Amino acid sequence: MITEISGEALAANAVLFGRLLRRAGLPIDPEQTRTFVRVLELLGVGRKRDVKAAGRTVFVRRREDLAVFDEAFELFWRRRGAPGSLGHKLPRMQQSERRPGALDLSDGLGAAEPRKEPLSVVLPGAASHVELLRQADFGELSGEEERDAMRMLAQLRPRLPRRPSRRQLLGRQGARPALRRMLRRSLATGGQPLTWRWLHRTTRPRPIVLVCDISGSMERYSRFLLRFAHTLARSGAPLEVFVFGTRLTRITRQLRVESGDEALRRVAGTVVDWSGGTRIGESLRELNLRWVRRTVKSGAVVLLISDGWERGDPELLSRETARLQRSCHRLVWLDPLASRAGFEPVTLGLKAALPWVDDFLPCANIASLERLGELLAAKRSAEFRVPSSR
Amino acid sequence: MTPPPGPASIDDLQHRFQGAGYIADRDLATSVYLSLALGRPLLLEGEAGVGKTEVARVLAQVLGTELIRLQCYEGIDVSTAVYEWDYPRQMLEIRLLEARGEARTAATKDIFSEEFLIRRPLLRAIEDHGELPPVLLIDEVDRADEEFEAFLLELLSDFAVTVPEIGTLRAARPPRVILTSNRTREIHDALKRRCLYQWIDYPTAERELAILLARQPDLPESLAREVVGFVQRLRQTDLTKLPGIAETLDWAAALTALGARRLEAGQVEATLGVLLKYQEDVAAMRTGARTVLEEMRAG
Repeated sequence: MITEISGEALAANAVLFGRLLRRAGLPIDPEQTRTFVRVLELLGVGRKRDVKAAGRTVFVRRREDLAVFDEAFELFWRRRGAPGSLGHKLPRMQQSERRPGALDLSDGLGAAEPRKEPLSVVLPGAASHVELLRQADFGELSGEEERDAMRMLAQLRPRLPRRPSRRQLLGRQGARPALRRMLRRSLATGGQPLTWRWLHRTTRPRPIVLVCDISGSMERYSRFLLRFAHTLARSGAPLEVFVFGTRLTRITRQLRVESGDEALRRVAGTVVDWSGGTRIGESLRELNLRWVRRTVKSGAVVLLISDGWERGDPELLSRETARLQRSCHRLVWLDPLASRAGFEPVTLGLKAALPWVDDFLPCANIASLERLGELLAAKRSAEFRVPSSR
Repeated sequence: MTPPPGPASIDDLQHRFQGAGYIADRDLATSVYLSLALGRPLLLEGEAGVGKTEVARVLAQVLGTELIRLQCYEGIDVSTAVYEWDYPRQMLEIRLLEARGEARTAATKDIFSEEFLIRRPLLRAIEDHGELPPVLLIDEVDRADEEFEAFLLELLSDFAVTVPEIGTLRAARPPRVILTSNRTREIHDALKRRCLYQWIDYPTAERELAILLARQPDLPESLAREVVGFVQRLRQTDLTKLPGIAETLDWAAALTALGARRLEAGQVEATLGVLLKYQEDVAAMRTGARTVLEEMRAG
């Protein structure tokens, strides 16, 4: 046990430790390291338990980082004897690289993004091409059309739903008089409030939660829909995105990059159950249990994208859909097959879930996704509402 | 370096907390101690009902000082958190000046003086003139808007508030600040950077028992053990909302009120509503309580 240690050695050790943590992926700033030096001066380094607890409270700012910290601390404590050799030998604790064999979502997209020219498909004499593409089913596009459709999706600027905020703004109209401002002004006119000023409520973007089915039966659509998710993510709305096949994966962070191709690549590296079976009920259960209260919040619009091909227990699906609907502002089910002529909601999953769904909408082409934005922004969307048996 | 005011060591603090009925584990005690010693705000995160707010209350008690609490909510702004002008009184004052024929010469400073200032929690914490700095609890900061967070950031860095009509009011000694968050959203990094951080987890069985016995000394120990064992098992199951310490305490109190000596399936089922706050969870446990109980008894 070391009880006496010079201030210099202490500082050097703290700096080394800070560097180690940064390598391990924690966002460490010099200020934290300085604080840690003071802490070590205060507590000494005699009691490992205390030094560790102190390090946690100084260096860690998110619960997720606690485990990384603990690991790094143990490593550091063990090798403390030879501080000079520390930096090089440490393993990098980064997220693993792309799994070998994982599907590359950006297949055939090539360098679609960097090219800046607006929609190269708009050729003279082919004016209706864009319109055709807007209406075309994602599942029936040729390679070239696919690329164009992807670019159109990236350029969508959907109107987003908003919710009333408690924030108040000063204006000429409103619900409450802005007393502070008026009193101030009234001094100039001998205490008479000649001009009225009002406070009015503002609105803010409503949170959106997108839950996308990526199982085998949805394969032709999920790529496009994830691209749409990326567009939404970049629109500034508070957005959470999950995908599921047999299990639920949160991909909100993966989508938070500038480039759409890069975003899809990251998603492919994270998701393990690509193009497999479907267990909607269990995935929703997972969503309800682990994520709803942290990310869905009341007031969120939940967009559930699936064709309803359920291999699990329909009863579970029914129960979990109901639960999800109760904890959000509006539950919208998007089905790529819904726009087909003669479509009937006959799949087991759909039958089980539909009674609890607020809106049932198609999402097979760009036009329907544009339309979705309109409907979400509008107050009501009775148009596509499936008469429910509820 | 001058010796830190208040508790002399982590052990001392832990001991004093225990004396006030709060069983703090070593990690929590360390961060509270450091927050006092370094004069830095402490951000406590954790699930609802693990005793975050209680830390501030007990700290104030232990230090023998006042607790000033600010409950955050969406839309909280300067007029509810820091200060507001007392408009009715200002109006009256204007009328008074008018009656005396002085309204025309009245200056801003006559109407907007400290006399007409309504002090909200943050301003009170800054202006506090008690013997010891107060403990300022900023509760559930995750509910406030990000704009308010930015304001807090400013406040926590120099403990001064500027009222345009009066000037800058500065704290003689910064208050002890504790922030709590239920983590419904991530707190901004800049604010976190100002603070020490502590994640409070659900307690271990041992600590939960100690808390329960400290809080409810009348509770028979055998029942307390069973209560803790049952709750600890519940936390291993898939529930929408796991019960926190607050729920454990409530449940133990409920069982005592019903005169229970040991856990029985029927009584457990009847009192589940104290422990679980979601219909789905209650329904799941109504059928599962017996199994959990049997498992627990089997060890």
